Amino acid sequence: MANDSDFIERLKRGDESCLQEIYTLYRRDFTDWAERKFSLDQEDARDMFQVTLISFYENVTNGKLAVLNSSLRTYLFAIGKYKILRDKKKAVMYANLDELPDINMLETDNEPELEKEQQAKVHAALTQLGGDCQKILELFYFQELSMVAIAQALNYKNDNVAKVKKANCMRKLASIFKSR
Amino acid sequence: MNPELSHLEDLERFAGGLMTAKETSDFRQRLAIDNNLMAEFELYQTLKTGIKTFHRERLLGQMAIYEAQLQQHTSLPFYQRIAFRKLGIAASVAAIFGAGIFMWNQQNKKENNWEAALINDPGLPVLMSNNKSAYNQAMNFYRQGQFKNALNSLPANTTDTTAYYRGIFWLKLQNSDSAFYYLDPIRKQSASAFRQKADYYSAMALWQAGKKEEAQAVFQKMAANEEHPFQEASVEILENSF
Repeated sequence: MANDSDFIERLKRGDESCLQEIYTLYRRDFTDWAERKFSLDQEDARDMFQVTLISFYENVTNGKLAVLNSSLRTYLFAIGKYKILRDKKKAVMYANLDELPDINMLETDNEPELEKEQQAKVHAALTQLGGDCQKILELFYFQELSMVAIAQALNYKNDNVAKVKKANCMRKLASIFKSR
Repeated sequence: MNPELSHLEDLERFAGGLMTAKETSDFRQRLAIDNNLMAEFELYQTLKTGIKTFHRERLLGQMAIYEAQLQQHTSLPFYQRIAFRKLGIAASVAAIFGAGIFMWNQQNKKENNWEAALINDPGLPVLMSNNKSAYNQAMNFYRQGQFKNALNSLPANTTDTTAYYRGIFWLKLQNSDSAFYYLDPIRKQSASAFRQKADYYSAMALWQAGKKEEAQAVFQKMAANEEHPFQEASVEILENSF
């Protein structure tokens, strides 16, 4: 069985298949715990696990989490606890956030929220954009990889090529978005 | 006039905190007086946030598949689950129970039908903190079994996510033609996270419509692909119902 640092290394390389292994390993424990401890229903507990796993993934890929100071299980449960308490708007009452490991790395979704229509428009424009551009924009804006890493991942000649390609894709996206 | 991100490099350096203090101050001043630049900055922020939510939804789609597989494993007959968990010490006990369970399973096979074979899609997560998600309302209706309302609540866009759930909701409404109409094209979208799920639900739609030969062909294709998340389910359906 893979150990926790293997998972991190694989995610850093863009190997998303290990997400399924982590999902299978911890989903049941997490939802049982969330249902018992926070009185979530089954679906909310499952949803919470899924966003927790995505936060973990984002923290790894954007470099906020390079090394775990605890087990992956503890880390996931800590993110989950934070998110559940925040959602219940009781974080201040119940959580001593200093007790949670790597708490400074937990939050990933602090960018402004988009209106539903705007978000749908961007998503539709991305769908229209095509696979290559989707990928480079994902690597840069979602995974927050450097241009050097993107060039390596997508087999571009160098980071300048990646930079030009990314800028072109972003402008193309803007153009499609505005035309819709 | 700069209609489409002609100052992209500056915008990214500003948003990413990569400008010097003086550059930042100068850029803020420009933003305050230059409406075009401000519009460009807002467009940039919108696109950047939209890219992130797009990929989060893609990942959520993947997780829905993981969940389906987890549930699929849970729904395996007891003797198979024991084998799966490699509980070697239970081998002799399993052998004793195996015969009885096998007979029970054989009986069940005869009673299998479309409804029993269907693995329900778990839907997308609905978060307490994310009331603005385009899919929240639809998913709430879906989980309550209100499929018509779910269908009407889906966002009016053409993403594969929306098309996929249109197909799923139509399937639950037993309108197999409409379900197939939405699901089948997703099977050809190699970049879609819903592609393999669409294989399975397209086959279920064909089966529901009574097009057993066409359905069988799709199930056979899935059954032959060991990487397919619905491989086991397809094998089971082919064995029990075709």
